[in-house]
Amino acid sequence: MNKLEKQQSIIKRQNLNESDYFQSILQESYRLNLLSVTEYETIQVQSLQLLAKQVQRYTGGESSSVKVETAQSIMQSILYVIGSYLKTFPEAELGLAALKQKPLLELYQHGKKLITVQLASAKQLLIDIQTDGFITDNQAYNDTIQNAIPPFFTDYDVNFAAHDTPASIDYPLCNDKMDLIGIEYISNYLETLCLENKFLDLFPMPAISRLLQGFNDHHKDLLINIFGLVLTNALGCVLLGKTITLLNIEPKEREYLQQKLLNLSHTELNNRLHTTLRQLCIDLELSDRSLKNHMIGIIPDLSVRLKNALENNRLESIFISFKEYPLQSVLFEEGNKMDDELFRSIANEIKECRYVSDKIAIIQKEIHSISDFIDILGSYCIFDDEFTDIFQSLGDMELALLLKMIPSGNTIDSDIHFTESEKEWHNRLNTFFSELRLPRQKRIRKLVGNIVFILDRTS
Amino acid sequence: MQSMFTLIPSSVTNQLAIAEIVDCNEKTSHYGLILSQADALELVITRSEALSNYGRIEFNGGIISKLILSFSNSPFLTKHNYVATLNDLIETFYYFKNETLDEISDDELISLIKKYFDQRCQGSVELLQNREFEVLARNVRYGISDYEDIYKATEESFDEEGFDE
Repeated sequence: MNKLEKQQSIIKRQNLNESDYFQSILQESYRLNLLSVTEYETIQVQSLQLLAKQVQRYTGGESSSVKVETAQSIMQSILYVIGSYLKTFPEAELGLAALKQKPLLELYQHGKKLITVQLASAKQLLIDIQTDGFITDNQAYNDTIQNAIPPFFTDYDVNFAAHDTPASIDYPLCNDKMDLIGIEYISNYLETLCLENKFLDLFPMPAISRLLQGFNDHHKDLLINIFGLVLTNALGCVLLGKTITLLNIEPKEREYLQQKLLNLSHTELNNRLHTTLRQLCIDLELSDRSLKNHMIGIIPDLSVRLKNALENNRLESIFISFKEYPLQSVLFEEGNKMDDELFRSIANEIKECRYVSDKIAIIQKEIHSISDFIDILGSYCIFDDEFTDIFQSLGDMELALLLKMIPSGNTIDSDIHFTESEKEWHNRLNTFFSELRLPRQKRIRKLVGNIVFILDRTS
Repeated sequence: MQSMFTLIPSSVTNQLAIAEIVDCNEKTSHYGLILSQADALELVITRSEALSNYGRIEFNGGIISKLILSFSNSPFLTKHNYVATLNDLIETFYYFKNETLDEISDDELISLIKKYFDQRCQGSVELLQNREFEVLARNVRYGISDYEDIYKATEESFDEEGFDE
């Protein structure tokens, strides 16, 4: 122990593998002669005994052999559980001392207790995020929070697959720690997301929404990190000395930034971003240390991108401008969607109609929201030329709304997000539109440009 | 990772297994079936090879002695074919552990092998492997609840295409 104390912090944390902590601590200690061959073998024998015990539990004592892959997975789970306990020691050497002095079974049990606590707090974090009031129409965000992470808590198996992460997460974080696995990844993901949402809550929702719209018309379907975009523009606002919560950076202001930052070296730019970030934290009265650290994490990547954009005079890819509403803009607020049961019965009714005139009559009578109408078009209840008849029954505004909502002509067939039925009506609508008389086409195109969707905050 | 599995010296585990096998002679000698040290070693080697060939790993051992004790009263085992049959049975056992996706416990699999070996196959391991157990393993994989009833299942399973009954 004395020898260990003298050699403290010889094992560098950065040399240890986060996802394979236990084994990397053994290998690193062995490399640094902190662990003898005998001690190494004792630990290995103990881990094998632990594996035999867990395999017996896994098979319910009914099978003495298992497939090598099963055994490897169980072994990995054991090593992961012990690794998460070892990570709780402030110094890797203390973890090594525990490995030498305590039976592996004891460390494993401590690790399991720790993971149970982590699971409970991650569950609570998820509930906090689901109810924290941050609303976005970004599909990846909503899918991740509502559908992808909740099953993790039922599927996660601390006994035999603690290293697995049974969740399919789409929404990207700013500086996501991808080297973590299992509950550690989920905990870290949720903690970081919580921090990001805390930051986003400081900005008015319409400003965030317009910023995203300025970034890309299809921002709802993109895998983008909202925090990163908002923080970058907020930093831009600080650099310009304008109100941060406005978030907008006008093209002229970008030109000013281009002139101001162009001649800075990489280090100077980096320093400028750090100073700006500090100012941002003061202006927003941020005191949360973890949030500040997370914000600092954006700088290395941002300074590289910024430098690149400055050199190529493409600052619009970094600092985003809001899209101006057209002068004669039409604000469109979605009506209430009908419930699934009713929708199904109407869709079935339409499908069974023999004449398209009956289908049109039902649609006009029953469908009162554009989303429901779009769902009907893509529900395999309207066929072939019936689409043309239905489009003919629509006014300019309805056609403009439909055209606004579909992807542009060239990308329809290659877009994997749409079903065949949806692709069909998209194509038919485009054909129908192209066959309209030119003055009407012009009128509708103008309407398409003027429509602005208002985000439904209650959804 | 791999080093963790190859750690225990195989000579030590082999010695233990050989001793365990030879101990079975006490009970099987009643049927005139006796294994020498060399026979026991051969069985242990067969087991290691079968485990390695079928990508399996064993922890507590004991399968060979379980097979020996279970099959000792079989009318088809004589001192002339004893070792060769045991070798085949060990290999068959691990093959069908894989083929049945580990759904059947060790004891149940041994008793099924014994049942078909003594009855339908009349002591032929070849028939057991290629006729009876192929159907049985298929039944297990397709989740047929009375998978043991291989004759009924053979006729019906093609219509069912493996759906649960």
